Amino acid sequence: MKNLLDILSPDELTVLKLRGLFEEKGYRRYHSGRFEEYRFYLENQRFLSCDMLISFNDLDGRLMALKPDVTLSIVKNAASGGGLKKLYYIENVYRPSPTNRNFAEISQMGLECLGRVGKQEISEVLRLAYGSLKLTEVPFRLVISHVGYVAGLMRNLRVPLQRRAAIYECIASKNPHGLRLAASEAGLSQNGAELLERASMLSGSASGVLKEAAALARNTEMERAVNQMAQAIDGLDDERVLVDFSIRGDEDYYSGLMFAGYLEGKSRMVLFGGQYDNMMKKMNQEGGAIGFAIYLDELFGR
Amino acid sequence: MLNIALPKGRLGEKVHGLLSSVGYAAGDLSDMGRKLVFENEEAGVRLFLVKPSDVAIYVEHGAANIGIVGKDILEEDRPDVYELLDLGFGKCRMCVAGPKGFADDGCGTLRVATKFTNVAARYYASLGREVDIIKLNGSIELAPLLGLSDLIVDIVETGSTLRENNLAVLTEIMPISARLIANKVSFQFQREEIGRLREILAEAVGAK
Repeated sequence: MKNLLDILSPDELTVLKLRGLFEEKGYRRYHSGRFEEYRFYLENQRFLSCDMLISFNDLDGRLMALKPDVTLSIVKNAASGGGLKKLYYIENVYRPSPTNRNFAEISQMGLECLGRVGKQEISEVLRLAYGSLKLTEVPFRLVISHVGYVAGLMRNLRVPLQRRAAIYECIASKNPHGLRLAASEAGLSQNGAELLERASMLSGSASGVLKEAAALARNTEMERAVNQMAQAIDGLDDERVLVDFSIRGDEDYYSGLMFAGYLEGKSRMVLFGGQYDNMMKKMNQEGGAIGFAIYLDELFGR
Repeated sequence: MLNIALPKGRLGEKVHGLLSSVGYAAGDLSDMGRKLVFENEEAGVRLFLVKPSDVAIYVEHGAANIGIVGKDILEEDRPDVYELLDLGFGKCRMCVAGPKGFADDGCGTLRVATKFTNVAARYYASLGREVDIIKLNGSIELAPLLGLSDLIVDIVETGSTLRENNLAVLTEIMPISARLIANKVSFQFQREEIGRLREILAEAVGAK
């Protein structure tokens, strides 16, 4: 057996170790086809990082698309039936390249936990994300966030719906000067704008930021978000776990904890995930869901 | 060590001067013709001058941890970087300009010459106006004079070039100034160094 493992490249060995990590926790491999109907992605466009797809007509005339994402297909096809489904995948997806103006075949590995997802499952998935980064043996950061914290603050400050996208964009790019302008255009008072800036720009070591975030919470939605983050990272609280509200996902799909993984020396994030109960509801599936993707091209690239 | 990408030209010189004044001096700009990289080990910085439109590319790809770039380029290229500070200098405006008194009658397709094709396309899409965008790399003001385009979208500092050519600003699309940007991965690993430099620069330019 030792000889067989010796023929694996370091990258293949990493994938094998990740599989071992996931299988040990009861995750089973999911194999997906390469395409879905085009309209499926059109209906769920906001979940995708980009709306450009490679499309073609199937022999029966239906407009199809090469998969830009695996999670949507898993949610659609692997209903939990009220129980708990733990799946992982290693698949290629097709999206515009982040570095040039062409489509790219992107290798992705990920896991999804669907159905009766509770505190224990959320904590397990976050630990698996942490474990995945750790087994690369490269210095890493796991950065967590919660959709409910800034969303709760927006509701507390009564930010008009049509003004929220501009505010979220500034938070995502850590742009305080743009945020002040967007807050003023949204009609926020000076106190409101200052609170929005202080709370949404919180970033740093988990324990410190969570204390500040709790002190700035203005409603139960924000308090719940802080408590859920604290519960999820319980026992993972080291200098490699950070809290940063610039990590976010679309509220129509994501519903709670969000997280991103970074490796030193890489130019982009290598891991991204979160809770997506709202997507489950949108697709008429029972229960909640949490999962993450590991971008293998980023992980194994320079 | 922080790798800092600066734009060649006046803006880069100003930022180099500013960095020197706050203790991040590295090299003499007069050597910049020969030398490409300047290092100040004590201050923990390495500076390099690149084409202004390349600054964000260096930062997005992680070759530079941070950089200074005009908002015009950020709006045009929309790189995936953090925009940490408005330095408040290098001020100008992104404008629609054209012959004095030009009024769009809304008929036919409007021809717009610009270096900033994405900014122009987004602006006219927001108005629902059909346009032909003509990409030029320089001397944009010439386009309406020679009938190449009806209007231009360009950055305007004082407006003197426009006035000399009987052109005028018709609409201001957005104000522009220099911004401090950071690579998203570098930020997670060099929070303290980047944060410290941001605070020092903010104080030096009187920003928050």
